[in-house]
Amino acid sequence: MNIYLFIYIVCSYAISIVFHAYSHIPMEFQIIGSALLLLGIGIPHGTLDHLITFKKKDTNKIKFYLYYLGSIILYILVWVLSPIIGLISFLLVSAFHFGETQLHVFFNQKRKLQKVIYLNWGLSILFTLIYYNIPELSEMTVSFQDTEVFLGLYEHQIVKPIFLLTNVLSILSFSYMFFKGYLAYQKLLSELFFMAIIHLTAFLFPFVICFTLYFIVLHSLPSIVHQFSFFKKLKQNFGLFELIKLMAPYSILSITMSFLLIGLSYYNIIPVSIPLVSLVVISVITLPHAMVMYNFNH
Amino acid sequence: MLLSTIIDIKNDPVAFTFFIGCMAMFASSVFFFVERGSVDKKWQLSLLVSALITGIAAVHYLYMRDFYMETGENPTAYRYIDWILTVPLMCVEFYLLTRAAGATKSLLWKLILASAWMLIAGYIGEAFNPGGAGATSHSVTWGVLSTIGYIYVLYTAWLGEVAQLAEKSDSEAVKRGVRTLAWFVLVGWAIYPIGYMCMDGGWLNSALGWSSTNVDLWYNIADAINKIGFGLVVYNIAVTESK
Repeated sequence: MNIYLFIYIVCSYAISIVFHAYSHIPMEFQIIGSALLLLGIGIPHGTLDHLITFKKKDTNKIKFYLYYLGSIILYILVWVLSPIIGLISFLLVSAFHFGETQLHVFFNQKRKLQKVIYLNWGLSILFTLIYYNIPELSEMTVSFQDTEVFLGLYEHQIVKPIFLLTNVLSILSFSYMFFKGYLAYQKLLSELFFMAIIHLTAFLFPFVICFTLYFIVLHSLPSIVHQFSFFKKLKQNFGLFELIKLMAPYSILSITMSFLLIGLSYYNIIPVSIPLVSLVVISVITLPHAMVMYNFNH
Repeated sequence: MLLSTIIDIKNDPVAFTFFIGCMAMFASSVFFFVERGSVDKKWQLSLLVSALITGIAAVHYLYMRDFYMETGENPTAYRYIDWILTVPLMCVEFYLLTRAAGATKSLLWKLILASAWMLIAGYIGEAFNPGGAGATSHSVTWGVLSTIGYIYVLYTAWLGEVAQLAEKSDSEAVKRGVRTLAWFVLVGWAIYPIGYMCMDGGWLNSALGWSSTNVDLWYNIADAINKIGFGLVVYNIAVTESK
């Protein structure tokens, strides 16, 4: 168990105690808490993409920005043309990114099936979170007219086979990695325990809580620490304050832009509901971030 | 009398596990005590502590079994008396295993205090509820305090002093053994806070559909695995290191 899983377990105990005290946590509180964590930790974890790329290797800045912003614009187009394809590709990109950040440490050189293993692992985590919370997700989906199109994706007969298949394949992948010598015995146990904990929390907690907990504690926090270590290697006296100073302007800019879009949606200036705007914003920044982090980690 | 008891336990898994738990603890205690003679002197104290843990539990299980058979109720007080003696002793095992790598007395006392804190707070939360069964504010307050003790032991075993000392140890068996014991703390001991949240009016009571009778069943199984398993890991280290 590493420090992040320890924090995850401590947070899960804390949330369990809140549930023990109040039986349930109102949806408004869940969303406010989740939004604060996403804005405070989730968004900053992806704000240094450009600096990481420039420091890691000699990259043409204009080419990088064209690439980065171009993929965002392309992805917005996908959302405009087909929200269903937008959501499915978001699930796939996020799944690959989650799997890659979790498992890349076990592959010190390119291996067969590596990318398939990343994608499958991420899908197994996402579909575990979804599977245990189908009624809640369906309810959230039908709350707004423009998100109703996604309802079909949360059908039990679609989610269940993917949930089962990806989880079985994840266990098979770990067995494969273990027998190939990529994964030591203790690490194998840790990874299986990791999956078990995700199942338990997805079963016990509402979707918003378990997803936020996973995304913040097990994804964003390790990524921030990884990036911090990278900058620390480049500059000996690089401290936490320097990291915050580095992240702050880009984080503030991203958060302001997000609020602006949410405001435009709230005042009906753009004909898209707040949940859909949030989903689109998160997905379009995830795509280039996932590509940058893939290059960074490999 | 004996026949009627056997007839009673036939359809009652809780009573069944009380009987099995009692016998298994006795047998393990005898085993660890006898095996003390077959390991190096420096490991004999560890095995004696293992024998004490299972021995103390065996005696309490005798009382718990009778209490349950007589009343059909949870033997909460007996359970906590058992735990307040045996759980700090499990923490002593961590100290004994890592002593050669430089574990200090202060580590021993910190672990003992944290585990005692965890159990005393848990007992107050579970046994003395001024609002009566179903009222949660009392159990939540003491549950939080108890969890702090558990989290401290968990942290020490996985990432703190115990883990670091085990890493420093020259012995592979000690490294592996401490890691296995840490798994017991993480997975095995987790059943206790889960059981706590299954008390009348508790959150998991409704979320998992467990009643307080189910909790006794899980406690019995978890106790047997944790105490006997803990001892067997220590025994394995002692035997490996004595070769």
